Amino acid sequence: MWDTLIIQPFTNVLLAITMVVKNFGVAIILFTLLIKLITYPLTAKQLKQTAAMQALQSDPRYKKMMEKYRDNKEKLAEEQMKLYKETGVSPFGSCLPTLIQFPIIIGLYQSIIKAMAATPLEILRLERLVYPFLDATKILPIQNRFLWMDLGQPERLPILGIQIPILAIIVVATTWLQTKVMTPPSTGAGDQAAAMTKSMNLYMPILMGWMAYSLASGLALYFLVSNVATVVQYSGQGRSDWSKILPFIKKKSPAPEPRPVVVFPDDDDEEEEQEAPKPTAKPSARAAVKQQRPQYKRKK
Amino acid sequence: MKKPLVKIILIFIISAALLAGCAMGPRAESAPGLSADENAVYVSNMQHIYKVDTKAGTELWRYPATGSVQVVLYAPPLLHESSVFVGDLANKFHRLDAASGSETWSFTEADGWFQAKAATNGDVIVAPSSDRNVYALNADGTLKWKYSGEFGYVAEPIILENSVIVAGLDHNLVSLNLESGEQQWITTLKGAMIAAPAYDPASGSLFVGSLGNEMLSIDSKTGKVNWTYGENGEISPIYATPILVGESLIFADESGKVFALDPATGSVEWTLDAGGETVAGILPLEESFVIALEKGELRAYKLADRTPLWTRTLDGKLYTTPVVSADKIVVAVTKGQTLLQAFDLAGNPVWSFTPAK
Repeated sequence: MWDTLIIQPFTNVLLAITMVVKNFGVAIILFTLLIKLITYPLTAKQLKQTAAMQALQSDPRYKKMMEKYRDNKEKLAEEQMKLYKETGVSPFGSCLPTLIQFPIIIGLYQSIIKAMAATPLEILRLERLVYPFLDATKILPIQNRFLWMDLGQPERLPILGIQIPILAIIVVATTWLQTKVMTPPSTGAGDQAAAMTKSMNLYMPILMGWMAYSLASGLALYFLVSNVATVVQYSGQGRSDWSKILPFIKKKSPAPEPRPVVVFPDDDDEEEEQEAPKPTAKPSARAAVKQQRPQYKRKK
Repeated sequence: MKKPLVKIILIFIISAALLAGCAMGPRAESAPGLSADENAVYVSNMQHIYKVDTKAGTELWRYPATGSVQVVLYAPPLLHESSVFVGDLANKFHRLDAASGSETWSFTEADGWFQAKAATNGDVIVAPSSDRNVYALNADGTLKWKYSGEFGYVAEPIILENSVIVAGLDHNLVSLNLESGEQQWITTLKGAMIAAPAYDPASGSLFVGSLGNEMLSIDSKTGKVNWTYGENGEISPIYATPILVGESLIFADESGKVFALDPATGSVEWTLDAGGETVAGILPLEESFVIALEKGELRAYKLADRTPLWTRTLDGKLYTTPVVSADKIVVAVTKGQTLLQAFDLAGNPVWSFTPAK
């Protein structure tokens, strides 16, 4: 079922691209970009939902509610659900697109592995996956030489007699870049999510670098393209915070988007409508992000 | 702080396992490599090569003594006099003492896996690698020459007097000078070659099948194609070496159809439907032959009229050509309860071998 619906079509598209461009490395790049393009609506939705959730969670009244019901988890959950419902923010809104994307990403990864068949048994399995109209006899096994790499082997570039894992180093750098630009602003000191994010920023590049170092370079190439494409997608949506990476870049004063109005529920402790912060000439990155947050209103 | 950290580490471990599938060692899915002499069988599978006594089915030695995930062996071992030659997926090629299993030397200059069985004439050892090179080694393990092709090699080379014939995944069958490695001729086929050609010393012809749904007869001196069978879609891909039995060239294609051709002309003498997909080669016996079906069935047929003699079903898949040792048929099983299963020539089970942990 998984093979028929995901792996087989993915592998055949990858092989078809290889037949057209006559280069497996280029085919991996194009195929990864194609998948990123197809899943873009899901990514965009996920980003939108994440931003709305972050905005909600950074609101002082939300924090106050958290504080108020800190010792009553049941009541807190009830109030949170009520708040989510009334503000129209779904707590699972950013999870669902991710869940839908997950099998696609795994399928993409597995189809690249399948296409890089190197043993007789792997070639046999690949040959049986190929649709008849592609004529497996002509293309199998895939010629997996790309630049200085053998895409079926871990990549090393000999420089002055030293085998340097260039691709793994670039994967580490781009994963770090990706986690940096994607990291949402912290919603407060001691925030558990912020602590997790900080740890993730540290461990994710190490993990991906280790995988790129030890796995076939075809997969490392996929990691690299995927990282770059994700950064570009985020930047395209104006969500990347480059000032985190390049301190000399001052985040330009954003033309404040019309902020979504979110209706906040009645709360005896909180009577005033929160005003949007006014943009300054050179706002900090955090302030700039804050400006884009939705505006909350008390429910009348 | 501690709890989120534990969560993150757990998530990473699960993700790494999902994506990498135990990325510590070479990631490869393959079938056991099997060879035999009169008294023992040698099987390379995963972390070890095992020497197993054919009479008792007991392990005589294993190499390396302690397995490592970094070292994986699938190449069929080459047995020559008192030595065993075998390469691994850690890019090393070893010479072992056949009696003790201890290493005499290892060649470490390759950049790719050794999956093919090597060949030797006693003086030169020819070891093709997945790094697109064919390595010729001196008896002491030093490099004599290397030949670079367009793709990796998984097929066993054939040494013919002063030349060596190598079948490649790059669709090319090449003849190399055994002393210098210089290319003598090259013939391009429609598909990649997974298995070695068969050689007929009487006619000087090579017979080789490919993934291009073809079986060819090629002159070993010139590389000229004598005939091609399969041009009209008669056969499916061929994964094993054909056999020459009597006056016939016999082979099975992937669909499980067995063909007997006239080696001189390529005309069909008879065909047989073995009843299942076939990747392993055919094992010739005195008056019969045995075919291993992928689904785990071993079938014996009378050579004269193809009458079925017996069928045995094994627990697992069969991708490796069976061997004969001490009047026993030994089969290597992929993904089965046992690694080796031995039968007598009448098809009665004799012993099975599962490596001890």
